[in-house]
Amino acid sequence: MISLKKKTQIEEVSAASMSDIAFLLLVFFMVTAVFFVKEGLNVQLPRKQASPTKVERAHVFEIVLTGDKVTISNQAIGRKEYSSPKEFRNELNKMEIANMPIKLALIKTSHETKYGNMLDVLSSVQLRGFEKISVRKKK
Amino acid sequence: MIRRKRQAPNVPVSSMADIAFLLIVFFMVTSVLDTDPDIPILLPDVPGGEQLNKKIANIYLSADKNKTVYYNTMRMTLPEAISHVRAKMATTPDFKVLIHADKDLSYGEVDNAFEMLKEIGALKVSLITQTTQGGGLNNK
Repeated sequence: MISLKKKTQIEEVSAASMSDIAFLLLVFFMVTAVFFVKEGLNVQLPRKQASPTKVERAHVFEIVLTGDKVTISNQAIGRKEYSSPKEFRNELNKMEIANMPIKLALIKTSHETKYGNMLDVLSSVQLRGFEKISVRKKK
Repeated sequence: MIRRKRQAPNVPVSSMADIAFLLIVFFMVTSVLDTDPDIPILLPDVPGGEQLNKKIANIYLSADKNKTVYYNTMRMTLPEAISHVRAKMATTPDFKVLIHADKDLSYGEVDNAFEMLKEIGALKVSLITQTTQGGGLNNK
């Protein structure tokens, strides 16, 4: 009699697509990864022993920040007052500063001024193209 | 003459999965998570911020009643944080200090930190603002 018993084969799990899955996961995580990016205004602090540079008062674009109020004074523009840093930003963008001989701004503020307001003024002055910005704190 | 059947050459791909998983594990292990301490700091929302990716030290100045100060993820006093910055500066050239200060904090407090940084010669500072692309510190 011929035996018809089949040989039992060990069943294999196909591992060929495993690499596809692994690479897919790799690519997925690489693409969806959010880089932790921070944004900030870069400031170069003056050296401790740095001697103050003298400039003509007429060339300086003076900004006084008291609470929310911003006051500017400059020989060419005159004296103006704004009720908030936001208003100051809008008005500064409309101002003609191209003919200023030195783009130097002096921000005068006090200890009690909110840091947010201070940074708002600093950012608008930086964005407007002032090359040198000096910050002075009133005693 | 016996002619052998020519077999198509095949590249073994069975180890490909191992390589891929190895890469996944490698990147998972070596990636450093940059974390901020869990303190409510409302960063100023002003435009003009530049993206930062330098080797840096983070100082956090909160506006709560205790005026909490963090250096990276450790809570400490401002002079202690400054001394950590000084220690880090010795090993890292082209060093930048990131100041995360609350917008309701008085400018005097931040200026105090500036004066201390000037004292140790850490002159490159970045004042962190709210990001335009998400991420960063949570808002209140």
